Amino acid sequence: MLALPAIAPRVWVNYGGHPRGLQYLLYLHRDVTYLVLLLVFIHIVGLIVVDQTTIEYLKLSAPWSMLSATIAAVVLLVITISSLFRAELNVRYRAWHNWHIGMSIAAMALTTFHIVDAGFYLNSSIKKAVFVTLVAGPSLVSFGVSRWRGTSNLGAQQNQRQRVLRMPSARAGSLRLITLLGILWFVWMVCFAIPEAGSRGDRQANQCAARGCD
Amino acid sequence: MRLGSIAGVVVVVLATILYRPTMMRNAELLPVAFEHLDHVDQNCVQCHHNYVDDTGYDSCYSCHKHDLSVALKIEPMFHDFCRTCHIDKAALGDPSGPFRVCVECHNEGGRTSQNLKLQKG
Repeated sequence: MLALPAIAPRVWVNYGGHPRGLQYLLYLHRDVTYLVLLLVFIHIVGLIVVDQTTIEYLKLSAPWSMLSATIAAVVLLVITISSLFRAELNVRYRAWHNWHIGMSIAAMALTTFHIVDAGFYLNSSIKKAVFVTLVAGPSLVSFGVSRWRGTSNLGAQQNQRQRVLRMPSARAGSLRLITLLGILWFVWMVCFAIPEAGSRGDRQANQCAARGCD
Repeated sequence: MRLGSIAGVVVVVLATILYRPTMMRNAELLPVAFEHLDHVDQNCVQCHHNYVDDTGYDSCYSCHKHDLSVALKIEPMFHDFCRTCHIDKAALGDPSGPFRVCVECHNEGGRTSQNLKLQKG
């Protein structure tokens, strides 16, 4: 979903399309991202509401198939925030663009691994191979087109204008707040699985005694 | 800026990889509602492999949770072992155990083989 509009702007620019059409494609790319974020949020919260045990999958001790999905969601959030606040971050367009592509590829690869390795919906090698091809195909075409034909300089032009602007205090404050929340979230994820005091044997014995198993 | 960003990513990735095994070893076990009587048509050694290969002792957790050589694999080993069998049975249209919703196996109220033993005692 995200890769198809990402291909279009490059093709549009390279073949002399009107800038207004390019803007619409970029808006489409942005809006599809919001839709994906909403779906990811519903997926995570919905599963926890339906089945509270799935909160175990948000811990750092979760299996890689689930941890990859958590990391992918965080990366997707970073991509979105860094795009919305590109001017405030005061990063060169080229550097931002490279990070945007790199993080997008990482998010898609991690999400694909999550779907394939979780094994809930794809249980044969053929299905897995077809799925990976469907996901990787548009991404590779998009990446190939950008390398072969070069990318739009629209963002670079915008960046030149934005670089002269000073960071508005309210938006700068929001950015710092979001960054702080991100750091706190990572600390929470790490600390969440830190065991209680005592040896592991004691804890297992207490656990069993509380549940009356032995 | 560029070096700082790359260094930040490297630190987070390394911290995750290095710290994760410790967390996995220390993670608390979820309760499992395993009904032994529902599994008596299976060959005993399919689960109790230590009866024939002399690789373990006592309960499953004695090795699979506490032995460092297999403790980090407990999640995929147990889940693949139970779920694969349940999925195969469901695919054949036979009565099968749960394989999708976590709480169907991981719940406090379910009868476990150990609970049955206590009830009989």
